[in-house]
Amino acid sequence: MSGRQPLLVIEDDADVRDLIADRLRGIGYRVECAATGEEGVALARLETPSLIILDILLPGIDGWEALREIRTASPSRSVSAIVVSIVDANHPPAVVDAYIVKPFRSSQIVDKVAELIGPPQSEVMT
Amino acid sequence: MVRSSTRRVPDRRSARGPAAGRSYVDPRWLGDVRRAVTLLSSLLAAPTDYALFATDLDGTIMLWSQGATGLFGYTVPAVLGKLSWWDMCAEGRSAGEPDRAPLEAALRDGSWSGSVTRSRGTGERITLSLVVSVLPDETGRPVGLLTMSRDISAEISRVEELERARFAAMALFEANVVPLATTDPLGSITDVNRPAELLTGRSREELVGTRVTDYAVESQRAQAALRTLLRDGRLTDQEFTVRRPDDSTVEVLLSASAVTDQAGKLHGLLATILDLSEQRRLRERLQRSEAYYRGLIEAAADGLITVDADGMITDLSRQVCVLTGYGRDELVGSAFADCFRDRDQARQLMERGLAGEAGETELHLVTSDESVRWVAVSASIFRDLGDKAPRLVASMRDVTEQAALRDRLARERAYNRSLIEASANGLIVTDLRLLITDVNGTICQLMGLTREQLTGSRLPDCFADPDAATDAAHRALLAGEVTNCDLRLATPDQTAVLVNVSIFRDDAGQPAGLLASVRDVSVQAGLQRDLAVQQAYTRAIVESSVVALFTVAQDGRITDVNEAACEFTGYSRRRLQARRFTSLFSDTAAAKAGLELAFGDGHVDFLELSLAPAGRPSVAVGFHAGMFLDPRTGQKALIVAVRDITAEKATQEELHIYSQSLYGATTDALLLTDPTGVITDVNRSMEELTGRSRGDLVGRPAETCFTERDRAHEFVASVLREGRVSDVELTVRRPDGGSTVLWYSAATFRDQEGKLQGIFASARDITERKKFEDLQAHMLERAQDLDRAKSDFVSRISHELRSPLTSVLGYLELIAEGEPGPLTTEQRRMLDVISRNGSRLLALIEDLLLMSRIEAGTVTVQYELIRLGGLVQSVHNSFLPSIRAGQLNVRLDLDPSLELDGDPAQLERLVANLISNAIKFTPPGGEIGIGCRREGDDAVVEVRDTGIGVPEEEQPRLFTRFFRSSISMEQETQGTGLGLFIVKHVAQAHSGLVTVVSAPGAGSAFTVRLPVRRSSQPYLTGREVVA
Repeated sequence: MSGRQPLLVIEDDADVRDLIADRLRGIGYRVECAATGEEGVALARLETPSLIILDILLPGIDGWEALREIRTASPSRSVSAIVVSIVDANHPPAVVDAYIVKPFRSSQIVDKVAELIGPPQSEVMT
Repeated sequence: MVRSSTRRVPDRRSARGPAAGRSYVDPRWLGDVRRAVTLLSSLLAAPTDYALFATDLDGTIMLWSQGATGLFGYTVPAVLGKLSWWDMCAEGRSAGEPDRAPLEAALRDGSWSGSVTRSRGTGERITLSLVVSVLPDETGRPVGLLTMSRDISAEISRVEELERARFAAMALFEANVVPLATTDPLGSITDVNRPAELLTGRSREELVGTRVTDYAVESQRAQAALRTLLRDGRLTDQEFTVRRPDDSTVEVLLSASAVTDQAGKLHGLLATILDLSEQRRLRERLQRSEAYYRGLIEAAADGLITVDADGMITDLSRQVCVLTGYGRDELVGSAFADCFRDRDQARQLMERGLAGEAGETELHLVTSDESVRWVAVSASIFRDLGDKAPRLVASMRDVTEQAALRDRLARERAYNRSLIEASANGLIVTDLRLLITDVNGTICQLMGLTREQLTGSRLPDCFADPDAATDAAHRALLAGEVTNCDLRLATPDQTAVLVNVSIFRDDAGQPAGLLASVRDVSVQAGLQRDLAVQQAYTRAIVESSVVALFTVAQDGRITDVNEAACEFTGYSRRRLQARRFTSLFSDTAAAKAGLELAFGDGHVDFLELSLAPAGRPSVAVGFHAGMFLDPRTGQKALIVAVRDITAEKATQEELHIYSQSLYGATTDALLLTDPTGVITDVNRSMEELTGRSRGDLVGRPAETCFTERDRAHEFVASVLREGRVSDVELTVRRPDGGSTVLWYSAATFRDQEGKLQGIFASARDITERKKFEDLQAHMLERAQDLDRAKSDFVSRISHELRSPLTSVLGYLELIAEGEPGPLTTEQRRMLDVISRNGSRLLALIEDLLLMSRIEAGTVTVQYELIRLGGLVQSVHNSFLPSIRAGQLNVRLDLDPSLELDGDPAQLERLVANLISNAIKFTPPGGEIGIGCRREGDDAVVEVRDTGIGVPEEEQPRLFTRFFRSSISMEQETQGTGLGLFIVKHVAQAHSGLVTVVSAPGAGSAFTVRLPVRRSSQPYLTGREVVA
């Protein structure tokens, strides 16, 4: 199980972060959390996430910057990213795979994650 | 010359080459030697861009292809065995040594490739890409070198061109006076030019590598803009505030576009940033000064009209409406010349104005009530900035009063003349220097001279003893009059005369001259003899008068009349001569008093009476009388002149009212001077402004009222010189030591003969107005600041509310799904309440966000193809709990195939607000109808209810922000008053419109029409409400 690549959630609002993490862990994904962009970049270096769910308006460096730095590190060059933000964007920029405006239904996150990296690997497979 | 260095090529082109045993030709094809040679020859003869040739180890050319001929220009016979490798060097054979390098490298390494410069047979230099490989014999020993080459001159020049273009682009970027910045695709600055450094207050080094959105005060909006830019590829004219290191800010207008290569790959962004603050300041200043000049124009006592090149009125001041009696709307767009009775004269005036000739013309104005109004009109040319066609500005000043005064003067003169003429005595009028200004016919006859001869000569010279005459005149000047002076006329027979001399005075009571009445006494007998002649003469004079004249005996009977009297009274001469004079008047007592006064004083200058002509209504008349000794009876008698003064009285009344209004009612301070600049009249405003009374001001030279006497003097002088002067700033000195700044406009006025009568000046105190305008501008600015701050706040808070709501709604969803464990029915009911209210809160936030975007003017429609029926259905479904709670019957009539171009998020808010209103305002048991259908090119959404309705008088305000109807307030229904405001704006943003039909108690029906296909044509605006 330790070899599995985690999902990385970068979100400064602890409740929203927990909500996303709870929901995804509940259905079997491994989830790592970061409260700032800098923390997220550091975590990504250690863990090489398979997908990043991140907020844009963060203290310190913003979500775009964090994503750029994570993707500069070669193992994460093509990591998928889902943005969750309070700012509307009907057509998300091409650098992210999905753009979800808050408040969202948690099923939206679950469906999008499954679509991008597949269902959580079951215990049987490890 | 060698251009590139030696480079190892892949081993399939190594020295082993074809000798390595690999065959490049199917052996069956190769056949015998002849066949092989034919094959080789046809290969060499192929017309190709590639030049193939071979040399022996010394460099002598042994094989030369058609391609080589094409490239170098040497034919086969001229080359084979004759020329060598070096002959084709650009510098000729002398350059042979350095050019050995490729050959040696090829011999050493098996092959060499690179580029070299060569010269053609024609001497032209070409750049070649070259591959040299070793040619071995059957044993693999090198016997020569095979060279394959291609002309790459064109490619090289393309590369150079590209570099030049890139260099030019960089220079352009740097040299641009508009601030420019480039960023990478994620918004990090990669370059800025000097103007951008100046604008942001940061150096290029500080800026490069940072995020462009960091410098906008509206960072969230900037990030949204960045995303829009990435999505759409361009962004135009977005306003932002740039924060500078010293905490000052600059308003900028940002336009940006994505830089993509031909393959569509995004390389970065290029932004142009325009500093708005300076433009905005200029615009505000311009607006303020426009308002101010408009105010000045409106307040001027003169009427002002602007006329375009076609002679049509484009604008006018309020005073013009006052003068003409027509409304502004009636005048604007009409022909300027049509304002006057004499159009031709008005056109001439315009032509002179366009030719730059100044001048004033008096014109008879066309007025709405057909009253007589004369105006002095002047026209001058002016051009707006950027306005090609010249225009005229005409000013008109009411001169009706002056014209009437002039008329009256002329009439009085004529009348005085007739009186003078009517006298049986010789009459001489002089000025104070005793120069004769007028005489009558009698004196001419006595003197034997014409009027022209007498006028201008000295009074004493008319007499044989001038000293005695001078003495009499002086005594008259001292005493007022002298009577019965015995003098002799300066005639050959020295006629003895009795002379009475009296002073006559002007309106102000000042002595103006002398009147000498000369009676021939020497020849009483002669007079008797000539009586018949004299009477005939008098008769002629009397008859020729246009004024009605009567002679009245002491008993009051009329003894004689002239023709004008018959006409005026409607009686024949015979009937008049039988009547008493007083019987002609409706007020006989007043007429009788007039006669008595005349017999007592010898004359009556003016008395207003009411004459009753035969068969006609009474008319107001002026009564003038003078006494004479009737030669026929030797009795005292009166000659009475009666004239119609109806018109005069009316004019006078009008003049009175007009001057009252001009001098009293006008807020402008007015001042009138004589031609020398001495003040002759002022109005109350002027008294107030100067702090001096009318009595104090009248008689003073105008310039003594001002602090800068020289400037004031120059002002008066320039008015006299130019005829008119506008907007001269002068400071008035007040007796209390204070001063007031005034704007003066002044013009000269003249009488009918063009003689200068004086200056008319109007002044305006601008101190208060200026203060008020500044205050107003300040208040407006503050209000706008507050409004902006409020909008920013609302926008920020609304965004921030989305985060906590995410957790609330998210965990609710988890609980509802039974994630933490099963729920009891009661728990589920409670969760439903929380959930419903959470959704309401969300809808409220979405409305607030949309409103703040509408207010900021940043609503953009993200068009998508939408199935409208599905959208309405899903919005309706989200309201099902509320519909159930309100016990409402909803009927849906949705066209499932209806598609339109629209913004799904915005249209969702539109539909949600309409449905939410219907639910809110419909009492339990009521009905709601929701429909959508297609009508022509429009998609129509309709939401009708049987609710409380909206009173008709409130409907026009229904779609304004925060509006809540009186009924909803009474019923204390919840709401923000944002819903319909958003409905209207979303509809308008989609080029659509919303209408309402409603009646209190009966319900409301809202209809939204949206074009099915995206359209830039706005729908009929201003018709939001159709009751």
